[in-house]
Amino acid sequence: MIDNLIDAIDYFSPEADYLEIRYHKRIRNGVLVKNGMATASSGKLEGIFVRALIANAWGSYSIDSLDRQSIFHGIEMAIRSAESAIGLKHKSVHLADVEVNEDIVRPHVEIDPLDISIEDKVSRIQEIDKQVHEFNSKIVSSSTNYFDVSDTKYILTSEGTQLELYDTKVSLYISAVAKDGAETSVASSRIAQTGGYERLNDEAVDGLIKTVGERAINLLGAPMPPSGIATVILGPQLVRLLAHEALGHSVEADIVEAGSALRYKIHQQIAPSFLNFIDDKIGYPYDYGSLPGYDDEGVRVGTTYIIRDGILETFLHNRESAADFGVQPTGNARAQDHRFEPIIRMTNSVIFPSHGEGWGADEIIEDTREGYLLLGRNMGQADSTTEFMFGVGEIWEIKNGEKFRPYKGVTISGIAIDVLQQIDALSREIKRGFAGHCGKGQIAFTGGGGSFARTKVLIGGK
Amino acid sequence: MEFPDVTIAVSELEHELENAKEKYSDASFEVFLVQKYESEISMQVLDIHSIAQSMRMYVAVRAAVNKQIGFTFTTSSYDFDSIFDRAYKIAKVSPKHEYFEGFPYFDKYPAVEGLIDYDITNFDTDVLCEYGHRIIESMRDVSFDVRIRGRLNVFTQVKRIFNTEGLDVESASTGMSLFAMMISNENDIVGGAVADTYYGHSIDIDFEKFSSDLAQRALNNHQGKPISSFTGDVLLVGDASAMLIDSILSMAFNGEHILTNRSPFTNRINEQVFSDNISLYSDGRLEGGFFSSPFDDEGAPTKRVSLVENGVVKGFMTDSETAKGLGISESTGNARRQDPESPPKIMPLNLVFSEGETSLQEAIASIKKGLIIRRISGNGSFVTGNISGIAKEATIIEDGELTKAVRKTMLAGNVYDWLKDNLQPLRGLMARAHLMVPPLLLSNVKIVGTK
Repeated sequence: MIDNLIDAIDYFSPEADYLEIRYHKRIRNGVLVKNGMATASSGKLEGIFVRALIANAWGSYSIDSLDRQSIFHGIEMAIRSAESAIGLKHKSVHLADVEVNEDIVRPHVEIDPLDISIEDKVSRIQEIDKQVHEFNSKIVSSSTNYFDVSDTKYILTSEGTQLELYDTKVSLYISAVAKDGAETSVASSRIAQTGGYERLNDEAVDGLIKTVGERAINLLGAPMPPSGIATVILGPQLVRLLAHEALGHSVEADIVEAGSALRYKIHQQIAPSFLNFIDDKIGYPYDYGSLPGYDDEGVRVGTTYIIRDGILETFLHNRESAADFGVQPTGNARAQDHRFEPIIRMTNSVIFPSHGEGWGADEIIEDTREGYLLLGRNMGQADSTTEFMFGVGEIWEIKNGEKFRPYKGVTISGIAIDVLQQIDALSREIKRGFAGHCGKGQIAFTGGGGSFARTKVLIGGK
Repeated sequence: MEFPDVTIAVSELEHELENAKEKYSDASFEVFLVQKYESEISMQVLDIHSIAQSMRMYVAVRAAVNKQIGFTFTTSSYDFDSIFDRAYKIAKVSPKHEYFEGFPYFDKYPAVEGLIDYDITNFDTDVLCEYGHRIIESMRDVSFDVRIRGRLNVFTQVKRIFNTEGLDVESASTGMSLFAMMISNENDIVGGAVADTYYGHSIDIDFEKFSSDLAQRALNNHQGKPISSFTGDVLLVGDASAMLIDSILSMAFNGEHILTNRSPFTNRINEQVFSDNISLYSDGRLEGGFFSSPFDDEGAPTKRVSLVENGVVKGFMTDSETAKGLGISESTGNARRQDPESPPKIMPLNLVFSEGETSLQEAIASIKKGLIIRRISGNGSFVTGNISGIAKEATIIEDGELTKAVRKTMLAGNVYDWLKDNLQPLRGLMARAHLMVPPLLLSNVKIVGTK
């Protein structure tokens, strides 16, 4: 098939300023167990996405057929789509120059999930769900959801880039409902990583069951915390959420162009001088958002310092926005699968202190007279002003430097730039491997983590 | 954009189904096929950014062997000869589904109106670009300081479901969706985003008005100010009203959550749980409803199902399997596939909330001190009813007048308590994807400010 793709791109290159073809096959296997009842699934998404740039207009076409005739038809349709918008565009479109790459990248996988039989997966996930249910007699309902994805991509451009990329990810999500009389609580958490089945080893899974089980039980009978602005220590999972939702989206260049509170802050001090924020595409290969060496425009990826020593150093770019801003692309063009165009997305978001500036995590708690330790997460959202809302899984009141009592998880909010500026302590201890499924019109696997961070937020309690 | 022709795919799948029936005499099978033509433009800043077209096919097969179920899917016709084998093999290693009693068979379906707009079948990308251009120009007419991120999508779709019990149904529909977020960028200050959506089977929308109203809202919301906490009345409108109902009630009246004891309404049929001005029903036959269809995604006829009537629990949404588990004779026709890669699960089709007598304007006029909220960014739990979130587009009401935009303001409480004591539906249902919701008046609730 790859020969047909090369022929097609060669044939149509004279008709467009730029052409890009992405073949994407995704094999996805899953097991969902709810209260002991399992449903297993297996499937394949496969097809081609073609993009053409003609006279400042982008056109695209996606198809599921892979024969030579369909590929040629797809490119013709993409060119025709672009031609529809010629004359209606106000803005010029340029693409930043990048190196032409030819490469094959395979992931480091010790146990390929495709080599594990569906029977073994069903049996294991059922056993895990049973352990969640039996963690405590007060747990009345449980749900365990496993899936693995194995991706194959070919990316070809009219500039000569030819890439063959492979990627594997696994995910395990657990939720539990506990009841005690009229009191009910819910807890959930996830392990989702880039890599093979070995990422869900027994130790990791036992830890996940313990986290969810203990959280569900601790929250039973816990009161709602009082509302208002409070000193909080955000756990690494929430720090990742802050980095991703409130800060990360605000530095995606397409959002910056449409309107972001960070638009006019480039190269300014926006955080304490000991704080760093990176979009780390390959630095910690097991993070869920890690890429196989290149983004979906074929740009080689690395680690992007968004904030270095408190200064906003760059936005996140694809080739088009990089040209608009006069900078190099940061390798953040990603597409969910062959049905979608690549858009600017984050990968792994991490906040950490500058060298020698971190605290011990316990030191931060001991140094806090009154406040809350916030752990675990539910959903999170933020907007153009960096105002955010996060669901918190578990809240502990801190009094005189010690964990005092639990409260029910509620929602916290704030303006991320303010919250960032008010951080007065970051732990040296950094936890990574947290995961999310980010929605921006299409789903992207994202990951990362960070330090414990002490700051102030608004708690939406009673 | 004509309707996809599913004849070839159906013929090939029927052939493979016959082979599978011969090969696996102990199994039954279900085939779900969707073919879709789609055109979409994306809008960015002050411009049309890209034009996308696609021709997609999804096939999902479920195999059942002695109450064991296997699910497979593909987008490739090259897999048709193997997809039944895979489904069977998965079923054979899966545990039994206690309440599964075979794939359903029905031969009578309701007539559902308003699913096709033949104007959409005449669409091409030039027309779509023209609509996008009108949206952007209307926004620019209001102000050059407002910028857009959005998508306008039209599609034609054919859905076919058949199984080894003899069920064989097909439906065609057209659709249009518009999502637009606008942000004001006055004097180098970026304001809060405002957003609106339209979902329909037809192009029943005034693009210029949609765009200019939203642009004006973006300007109005430009520089909200923090307020002090207070207790007062809150009006929830549009997405805010929809969020309250969708995140809590659509989950609480899902039969699966009743069966698994997650919903607080388990074993409470015919019990008064809310005040008597609260009614709620799911209606898969609603004329023109975005999720209306003669049949659900396992082929069961759709119905109008009363969930709450004057505050009394009357029923739950089910699929075939959950209906059996709950001892209900027949599915309520609420099996939906969120995407074709997922097995069907219970979801509302069109969820309709009761409306009241008082208009929104009358309610505003009656409020001495309160807040009107158009969008809430928040979390809710149907297990507990607790909800909390920030008001994303909100304006203070003082002595019956809208005064100033606010920000950094939260609303928190328990929806089940509100539905018992202090929530009043107002007049005028608004469509929000699968929801038909009125504005809601919450009396005497705490607003958490940061001033």
